[in-house]
Amino acid sequence: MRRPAPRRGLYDDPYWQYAAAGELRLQRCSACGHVRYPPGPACPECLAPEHTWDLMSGAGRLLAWTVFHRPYFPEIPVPYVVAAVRVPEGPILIGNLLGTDQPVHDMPLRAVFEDATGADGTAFRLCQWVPADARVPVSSPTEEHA
Amino acid sequence: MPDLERLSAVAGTVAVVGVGETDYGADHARSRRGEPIGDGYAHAATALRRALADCGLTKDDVDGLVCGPTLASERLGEVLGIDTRWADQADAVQAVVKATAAIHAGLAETVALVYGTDQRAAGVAYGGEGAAGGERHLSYTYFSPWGLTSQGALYALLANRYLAETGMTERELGGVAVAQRAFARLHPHAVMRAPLTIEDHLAQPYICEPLRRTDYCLINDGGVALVLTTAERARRLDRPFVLVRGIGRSDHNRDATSLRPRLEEFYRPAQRAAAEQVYAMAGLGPQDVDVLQIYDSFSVHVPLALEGFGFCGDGEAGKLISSGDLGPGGRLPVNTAGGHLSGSYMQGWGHQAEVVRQLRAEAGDRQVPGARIGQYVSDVAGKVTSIVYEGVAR
Repeated sequence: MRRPAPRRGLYDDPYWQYAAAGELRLQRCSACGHVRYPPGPACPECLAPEHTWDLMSGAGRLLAWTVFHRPYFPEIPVPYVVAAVRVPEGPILIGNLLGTDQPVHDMPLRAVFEDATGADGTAFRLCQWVPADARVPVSSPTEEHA
Repeated sequence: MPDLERLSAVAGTVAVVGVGETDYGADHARSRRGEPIGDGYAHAATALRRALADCGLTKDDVDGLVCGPTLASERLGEVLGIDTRWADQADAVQAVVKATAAIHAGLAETVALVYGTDQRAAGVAYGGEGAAGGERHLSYTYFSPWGLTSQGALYALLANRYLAETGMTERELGGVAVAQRAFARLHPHAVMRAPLTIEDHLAQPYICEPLRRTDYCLINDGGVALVLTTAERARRLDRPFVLVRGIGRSDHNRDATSLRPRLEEFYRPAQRAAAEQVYAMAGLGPQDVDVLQIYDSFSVHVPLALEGFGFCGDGEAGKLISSGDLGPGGRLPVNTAGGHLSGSYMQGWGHQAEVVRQLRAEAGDRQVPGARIGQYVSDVAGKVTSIVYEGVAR
């Protein structure tokens, strides 16, 4: 599956390295415990830079979605569903909604990882979302989606 | 908390005396025929020439310049042949705020605010690789691996949750595009002047569901200029002018990229904070507003502003829109030049020119009878600013 390459850098690289290993890890502030996303240099609650990369539960609920009918990227055919997912650790994450064509607000979801290749040929894995009760292999979800 | 005493001291001390715009519709038609219509600097120069003629000043009277965000400020000053003792660069609404503050402080007496864009001719893309605005809003580009790009898609996500929570229907939301088209049909320089019924709108294809093509703004080229000066000098010009009565601003940045203020608050706290200040400074409230301009890259901006600024209660915008009150002849005329959806996508600059024309009773067939108080509301991704204007007849 070809996809636009992720933005990389000092703070984003660890996120993508963990994702490549099939782990959803986000920065948790060592001083106050706040979990932040996107990755950044300091805690937006207390400004402390110290943090750990904590493993998230992989649970989430569907906050909102949109179906793209206009293509913006040549490598992604329309229609496709982009979802905003609230995870219990705090942040809202973005992913594609897979494994259902009947999204419902607040439905429980779980994270799965999907293999992807950037335009420059580099491989990475995307954290995607399926219904919590979907019988989809965690490591290689179906590419059939709404 | 805002210091009302200091704010009130500024209210009514600065006036908009001149406005100028390019001929959006005619230029759009020429551009589509392949005729060259000039670049952003050309549109800016045309707009300023017209704004100066409008108020009877010359560029030698100008001692301050605010350049819009799409042009290089040094080059703009060079093209226009304007040297200044004060200058800045800003978007449509901050341009008025900054110029008002500078004039009040005595840093300049007469400031030209000048915008020009050739975004259509230059093929500026607001989604996909290198989406415009990504340098200021990380959310425009950060989620590309998942195919999430464009401001429209972010507002589509908002609309998906907002419609579900408020019970507003796509038909009710569609009333925004229909009302603004009705105004555009009365505006000789609007780009989109063909009739648009609600059925026409609902037959339009989705771009990002639930937003359709006619929920999206136009991309076109043009220029807008405003001339601001002291209220004293405005009175000496012996022409109708418009006073800046109130300014309110509230920027919500926390969790902006992860979209929390957008998807869970619909930017209401930011809108309420801006509303509180702008109305307190102006000494009036939403019930006093005769004509309202709302920044509308997408139709859903309009219900958010109507609720956020107290023109109706939370969740009641659908009913207000479907009442027809926002269109020609309605009780709360909104985006009377057609707005970004049907008039011209001048990134809010055209809205400011239009409110001035309305308050000077110079808006032709689309004139709101007796309009004295006008308001502009701009909310781009939770960065909310509003200005209340008062017309002064001569």
